Amino acid sequence: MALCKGKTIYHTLLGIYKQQISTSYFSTNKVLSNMYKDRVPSVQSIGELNALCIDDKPVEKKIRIPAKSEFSSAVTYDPIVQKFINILMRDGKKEKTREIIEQVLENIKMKQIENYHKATTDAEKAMVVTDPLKVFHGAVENCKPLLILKTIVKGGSGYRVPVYCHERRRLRVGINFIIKTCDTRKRKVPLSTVLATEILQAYNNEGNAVGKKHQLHKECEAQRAFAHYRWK
Amino acid sequence: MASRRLVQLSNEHWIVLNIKRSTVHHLQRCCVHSRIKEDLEDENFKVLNILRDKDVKRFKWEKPPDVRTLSRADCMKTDMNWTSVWPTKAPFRWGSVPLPIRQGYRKKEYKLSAGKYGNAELVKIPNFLHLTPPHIKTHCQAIKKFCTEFPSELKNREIRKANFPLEVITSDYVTCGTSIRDPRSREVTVNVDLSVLKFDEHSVTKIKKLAGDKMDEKAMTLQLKSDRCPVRKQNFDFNVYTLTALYYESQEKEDWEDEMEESDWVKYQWDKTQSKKKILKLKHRIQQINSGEKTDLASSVSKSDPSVSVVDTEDDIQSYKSAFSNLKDEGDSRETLNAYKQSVLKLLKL
Amino acid sequence: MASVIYRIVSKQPSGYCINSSLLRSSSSLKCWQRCVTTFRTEISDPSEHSFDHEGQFYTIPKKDVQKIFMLNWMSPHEKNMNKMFQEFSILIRRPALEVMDILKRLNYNYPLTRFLLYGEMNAGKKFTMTHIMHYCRSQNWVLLTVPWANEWNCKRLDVSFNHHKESLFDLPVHSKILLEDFLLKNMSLIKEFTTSTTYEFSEHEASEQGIPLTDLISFGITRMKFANDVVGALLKELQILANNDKIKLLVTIRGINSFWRKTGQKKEKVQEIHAQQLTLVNQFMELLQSDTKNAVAMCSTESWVNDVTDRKSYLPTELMGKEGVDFLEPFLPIEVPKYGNAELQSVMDYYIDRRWIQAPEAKTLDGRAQIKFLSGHNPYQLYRVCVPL
Repeated sequence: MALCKGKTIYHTLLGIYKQQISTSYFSTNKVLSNMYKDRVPSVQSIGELNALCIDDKPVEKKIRIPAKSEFSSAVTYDPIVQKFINILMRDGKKEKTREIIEQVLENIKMKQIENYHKATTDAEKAMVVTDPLKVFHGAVENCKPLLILKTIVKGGSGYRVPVYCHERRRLRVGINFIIKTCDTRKRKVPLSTVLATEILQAYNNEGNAVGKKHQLHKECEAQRAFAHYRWK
Repeated sequence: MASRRLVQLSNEHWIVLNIKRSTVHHLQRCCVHSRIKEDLEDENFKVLNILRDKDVKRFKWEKPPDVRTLSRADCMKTDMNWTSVWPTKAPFRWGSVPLPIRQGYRKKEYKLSAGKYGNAELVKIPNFLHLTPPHIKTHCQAIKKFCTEFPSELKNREIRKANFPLEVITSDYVTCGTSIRDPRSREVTVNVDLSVLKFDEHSVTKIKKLAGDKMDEKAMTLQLKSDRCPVRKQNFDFNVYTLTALYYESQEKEDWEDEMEESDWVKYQWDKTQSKKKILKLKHRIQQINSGEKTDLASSVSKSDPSVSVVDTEDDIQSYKSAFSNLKDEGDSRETLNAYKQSVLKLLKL
Repeated sequence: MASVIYRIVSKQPSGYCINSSLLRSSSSLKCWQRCVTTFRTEISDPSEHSFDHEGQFYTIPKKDVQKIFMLNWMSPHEKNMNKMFQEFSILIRRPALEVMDILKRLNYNYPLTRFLLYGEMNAGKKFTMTHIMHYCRSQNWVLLTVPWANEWNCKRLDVSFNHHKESLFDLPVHSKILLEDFLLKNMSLIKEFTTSTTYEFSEHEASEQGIPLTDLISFGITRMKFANDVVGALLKELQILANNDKIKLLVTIRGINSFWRKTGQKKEKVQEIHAQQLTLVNQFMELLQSDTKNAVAMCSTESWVNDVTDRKSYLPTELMGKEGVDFLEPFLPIEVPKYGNAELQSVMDYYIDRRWIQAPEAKTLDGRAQIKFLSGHNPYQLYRVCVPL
């Protein structure tokens, strides 16, 4: 349940699962307002309010952002898969992207389980990782670069300087490597199969995505002389 | 910005104060607060906090609303008399309706439609703001002196139904316009309870077909409406005429009614269909096999009229007939299909 | 080689989610392991299956899979599953047992009996048919299968006019595929039989009386122009053989409701061809209506034939129309329902055994309840729900 299935549960509760009605119809109509009708406010008496504000400090005003649709408190909620979906998404078609990722996980799982059942001895079976999420995480981890190149203008000319970057940036670059290798696929080959093979290769430290990472590292090493330009 | 502060006056009494602060004061306080925070958290190593807290926003003065620009709806009290605001039928005026109404096309799914201010869409649609419950209450009280009391003996519905099977409904209208005549007053509806009349099996089905939508088949009541003639009496006469015509037409039986095709049947008649021939042939063949006769296919077909040897009143054929016509009449469901399956199994002696 | 990465578990609930209350209780790990033997039977011969084995899996031997089901019967998705699990196992369900029970008690001197399987989409009609086909194969029956009758309507390959009747249209490529499929399945059973009469396909070409049946079929495969006529000849031969008690015949037609629909086929000026105008459909309808002994027809109605917009109906009259019911009667309607509770548990056991469900949370009692709720007792949805687990 790495893909957020919160929406599907919501759909099944309403009895509209796998039908051609969008969720927004229900959010704008009477359904939600009826669900919230009998809600009791969380703070009712002054005593509880006092317990909330103990010290004399002024209450800070914070911007309240509504939770995104993919958030869920499920035990198996997976932020990296969600990140991957968000980066892969085009034109806000999240449902479509989610389907593709589901296909990818299915393909990976199918291949690995086939290998698992083909293996004869226990030692060989133990080597095969059948959990698609583990494979997915491993592939993303293997594609993360240590350094990235940043263009800095110094004295009128630009230099490409190797720069250390933080964790979030590394994750994004690594995911982008995987996605961009799949952009050069042939027509009529579905994206899900290409992504699945790419991820399986990346999990074994092979393939184009990992190659891109190595190439970036090489370039960083070549531009080592400009490293001190980082401090402008 | 109004920040809330709780002040303790004595042991039990708490007061919430809303304190307004100036801009300078607040910014100063923020800087001091962050410095103290840094000092407290790591005494040994000071970290420069370049990315400032994004939650702290600039203080913004909110203007109080100008009294001169307020509309009538904004100044209204909650207990005002609505009938005096909206006495008669009128097009929508956004200024005098204190309701959060929206109307119009939504450009995006997540966007709301336009509000009431200057909204031409709201003017286009009919409104019923002159027909609120307080309006109707006052209207009724005004008209009450013209009405007579309903006879108390007839208040029981069953007595009314037994003695008066024909119910005539008309309505009169009072308007404040230039003409005292209302076109709707010539409308007449006649409700008839058909259980009083005599019908046999054929005529019931026929009147159902003839009446169509006017007939309520479960309750066996007929509702006739008419406003085609200019005067009320003519309309009433027309309704009574249609009632008599319907009744006598349903009693007659035409020649062509026997020649109806399968698609026109109200009830499925198994005896008239190809299905009967098929089943009788099958039954005949099964009987042949069971009795041990060894006949070729060709000879069994050439023996014309298999129904001579097979009696169609046999138990399994009767059960098949009832099950199949039930399937045809009531449509598919789990029960009818199961009953049909049982009858076929019986036919095949399983 | 593989770097060790732990599964990232969310730290705090954020946002409003309905499934939160469902999932939170599953954190208390109550491992619920069943005995492995309860959901499998070792008996691979379907003739020995009885109502005691209901809700258990049995494995079809690999040589049977290769011979009967591999070529045309199985869809790519089923082939993938077969490849993944490295075995072909089927759940023994009540409708299949019911049909097999009737087949055992049936008097084969009676004219042809027709079964009609109906049920909701993805409810398991195809695998019920697979089970019955395997049973008939184990009894040495001749199998004549139409894996997907709607293909004649939708797959536009080649259309030609019929030589004998002008109003009919031939589908040579489809009938060639049908012949190939028939030959592969029944090669060993029909070796010895010969044709009873002569068949004239055109002025120059005819098959004489007394040639082997396999030669007739291979003639149809090599000369694709006459493939459709050969199908007609083959059906007649099979009827004669069955009437003489030499073979027993099982006719399987999947999606019979496509016989009463418009097709997408075109031929020159004729833009709209109804399915009743196809020669193949007419030949099969003749076979179904005949009084052949020793023959059983098993048909199924499928909602997939309909357009995407109206696939909700699944009952026979809604799909076939009145014509279809009048044509088929008397038939034995057999419903293929969705999974019951016991079946659902055994399928989940099977998935856990075959590693399709791996997450430890899903193996608990609460996890199973969640999967059950999400799948809605539908077999295919159950498979889909377990994909990311």
